[in-house]
Amino acid sequence: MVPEKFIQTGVLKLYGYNILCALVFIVLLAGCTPNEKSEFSTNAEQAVESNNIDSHRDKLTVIAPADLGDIPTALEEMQSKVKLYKQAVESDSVQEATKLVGELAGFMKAVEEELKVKDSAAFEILHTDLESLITGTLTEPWDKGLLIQLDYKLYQGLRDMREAWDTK
Amino acid sequence: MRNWLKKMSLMTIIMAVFLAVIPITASAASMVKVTIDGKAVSFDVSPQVINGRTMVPYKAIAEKLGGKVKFDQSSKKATITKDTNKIELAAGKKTVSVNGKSVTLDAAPVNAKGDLLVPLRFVGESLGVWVNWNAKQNTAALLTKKTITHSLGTTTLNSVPKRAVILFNGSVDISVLLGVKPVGAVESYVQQPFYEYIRPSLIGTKTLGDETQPNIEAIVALKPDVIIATKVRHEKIYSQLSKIAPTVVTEDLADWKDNLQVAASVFNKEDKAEQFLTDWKAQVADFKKKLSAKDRGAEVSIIRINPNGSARAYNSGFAYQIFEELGFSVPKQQAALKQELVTVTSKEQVSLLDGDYIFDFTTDWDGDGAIFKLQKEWIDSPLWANLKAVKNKKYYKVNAVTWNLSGGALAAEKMLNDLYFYFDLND
Repeated sequence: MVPEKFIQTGVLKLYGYNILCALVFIVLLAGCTPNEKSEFSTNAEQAVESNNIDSHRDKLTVIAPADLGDIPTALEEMQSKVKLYKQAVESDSVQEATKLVGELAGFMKAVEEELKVKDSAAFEILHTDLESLITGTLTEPWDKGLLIQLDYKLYQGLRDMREAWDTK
Repeated sequence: MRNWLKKMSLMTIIMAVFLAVIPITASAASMVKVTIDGKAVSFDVSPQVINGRTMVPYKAIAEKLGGKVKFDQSSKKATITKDTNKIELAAGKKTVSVNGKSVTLDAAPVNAKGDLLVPLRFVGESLGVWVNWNAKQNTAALLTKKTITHSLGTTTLNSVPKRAVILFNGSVDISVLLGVKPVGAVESYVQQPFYEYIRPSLIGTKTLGDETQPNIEAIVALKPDVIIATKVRHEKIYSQLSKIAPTVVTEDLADWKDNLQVAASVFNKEDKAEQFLTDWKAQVADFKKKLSAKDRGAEVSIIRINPNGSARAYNSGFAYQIFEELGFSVPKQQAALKQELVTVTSKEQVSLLDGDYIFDFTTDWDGDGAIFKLQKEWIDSPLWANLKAVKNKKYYKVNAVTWNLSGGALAAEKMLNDLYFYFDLND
């Protein structure tokens, strides 16, 4: 369980939501090689150029969904990326960690409609946790303990969602 | 030519013998025996295995158990009443009615010479008897009563309980796993009334106070037909509990496997428990196989910060037992003390908390976050920064509920899965 105060620590006040959203997309784009650029990157570029970030609350709004198979596969894939994220943080790999949160965001967009139907409350928690992880990833210097705690929370939430999906 | 004919004759003889043997072995494999309270019983319609499922003559068994049966020959529909149970089922229809509630069987009842063959498991679930299947002997053993030997004596149950009261959190978790909704259960330590991960399965279950001090009057009011307790918590009130309902007391609060098997035995869910334990064993083997060489046998320190500001390292308990099963070691400085719980009162002694890994399940008992200030005092102390685990960035804060406060089988499964996260393994 992560105390709320850690999530709301001065980052958002320091950067402002709109600037932060722009930074998210710029850094996420920087993390992609030209060959890795996806629809997600293109959408993000357009969003930045048009200044069309309409929600300071939802950093995931303008991210294009990843192209996935079924929900269970997507959730499993997200859990794998969450584990890789931990390893990236522990090895101080900013680029890798940033790339992974971008990928997680794309996955979240792809599954959000179905997850909301399945369990809207659980989905909101997952969504908020991912937002917090994105924020924390873009904050310098890293609070590694916090990032791993947030990542662990996301890992557990994804697991619970997978279990709920399996019993539907 | 002669040789060819000889070979063909020999082959023909072999084939004839083979074909003669097959029907015998096939029918032997499908023959099923049934015992009731240890005595073999025979039926006009034999139990048999159909499509891999053991099917038994329901009407005949219900009658032998003292039930009353009405069977409509034209509609092939049977109505059975036994004690307070009323069961209605019909040939070819998977959905049956048990006390007015629809139940879906694994396989539809099969009409057989005036009886209905049903899946064996349904017999136990609907008629309140314990059913055990012995695959080696092809025998279904039915028990109309069961005497359970437990940590404080023996307890006899006269039918599979339907109104269970559960007095410790680990067994509440286990009841959810087994698909048994208790009529009453103790409250969780945090996230009341019940831990979030099992709460959806406990809607309608009455809370009975704390695990350490259950509400006796509330238990009486529920009129339970079984109480599940545990020795360390409830030995002193065992005689009181026994007067309310048959009471089964487990030996060790933290031994989730034993607690699972005791509950499974009480509730006729032994096949479910067996499957869970089989899966657990496989998962443990998988974890150990995938664990990197550098982490095998690593010293794991399991800690929490106490409300009084001291720290505690666990050399016993739920999480400890799981780490032990996975082959991890106790930090040498802790093992040297030979204490189940190591209390560290001074920051100068912080090295006692060290290990290759430190897992911290400090609990926010009061929900006000105050404990985390105390935790921060430890973490911010200069000596903490010198700990090996801290320097190697192997200090982790983990889920207090699933790692410590629950103590159930589902919690164990989640904790093991967490360790795939912490040790960077693919599951």
